[in-house]
Amino acid sequence: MADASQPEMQFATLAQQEQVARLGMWVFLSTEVLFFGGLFLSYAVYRGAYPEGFAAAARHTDIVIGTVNTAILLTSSFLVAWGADSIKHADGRFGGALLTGAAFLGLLFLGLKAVEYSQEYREHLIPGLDFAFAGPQFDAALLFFTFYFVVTILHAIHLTIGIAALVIVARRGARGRYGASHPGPVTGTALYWHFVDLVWIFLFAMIYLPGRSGA
Amino acid sequence: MIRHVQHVQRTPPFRLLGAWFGLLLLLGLTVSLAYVRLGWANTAIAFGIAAVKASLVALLFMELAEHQPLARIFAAAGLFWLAIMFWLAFNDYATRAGFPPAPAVSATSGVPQPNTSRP
Repeated sequence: MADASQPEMQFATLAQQEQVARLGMWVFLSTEVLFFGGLFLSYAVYRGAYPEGFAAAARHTDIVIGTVNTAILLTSSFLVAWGADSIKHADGRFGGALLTGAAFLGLLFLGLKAVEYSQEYREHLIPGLDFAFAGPQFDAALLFFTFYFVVTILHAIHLTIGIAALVIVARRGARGRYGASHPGPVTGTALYWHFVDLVWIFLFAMIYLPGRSGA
Repeated sequence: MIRHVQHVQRTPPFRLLGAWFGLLLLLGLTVSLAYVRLGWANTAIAFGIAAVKASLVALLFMELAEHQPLARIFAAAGLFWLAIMFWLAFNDYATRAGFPPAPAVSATSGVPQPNTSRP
């Protein structure tokens, strides 16, 4: 492996390398905005078309697990931001521990999501697996839960990649590979993790909150 | 390793701590308000609070508030193209006759038939 305290050959300085890494990650995240944005657009179109059906379907999601999972992801983002800050202040051991903690919170999120999926399986809410929804909102509920599974599974895949990246960066950080002038992939990994959190913030409002006030 | 000669400060920077508390507060607020019957305002509040939470994450956790303007431009580019996609799509869906399609109406009773089984 290259010495992280020296810039790669195509960069004049470590500061330039760090700036390019940050901008490159933002270019990637912009494509991710459009990737999830297409799904958000389809949600907006069909919720606008079937507002009562989406409200009725959303009431069948588990708001307790949804809220706890949101708090878990927000906390994990806080730990990642704090951990990246520690690594950049030459406290790699502590920063690595914080990033590892965030990765554990990510695993906890996935575990709770699995509990939620198993509930939905028992309640016949998985499209294609004997989907059942009583009342006149069957078709809209089918659309809602199709969106729900596509988007939460895509989010879970992103989160899994993020957990793997965090574990690698945390281990290297704890060994003192990175420092204030050479944070290496810490910046990009943190940006990616925060973005996955950001997507979930909107998913929470789309999936769990509609229809809670009754009608 | 130069750690032993440095003063190691193991408390989170105040801006990160503040953002975390703010995010959890907003989460509690948005869940509470979702149970208050406000009609269309429920949706506006849910996505308004989501936008505030997203801004906190982007500005403080993703450091857009403190880094070079170029990073903010790169971040805004994604939202700009997203806005174009929503604008063009709703030019279509908001003005299209026959969307959403009307539910199937029974020839005998004249009322929409609930579809309770798989089509």
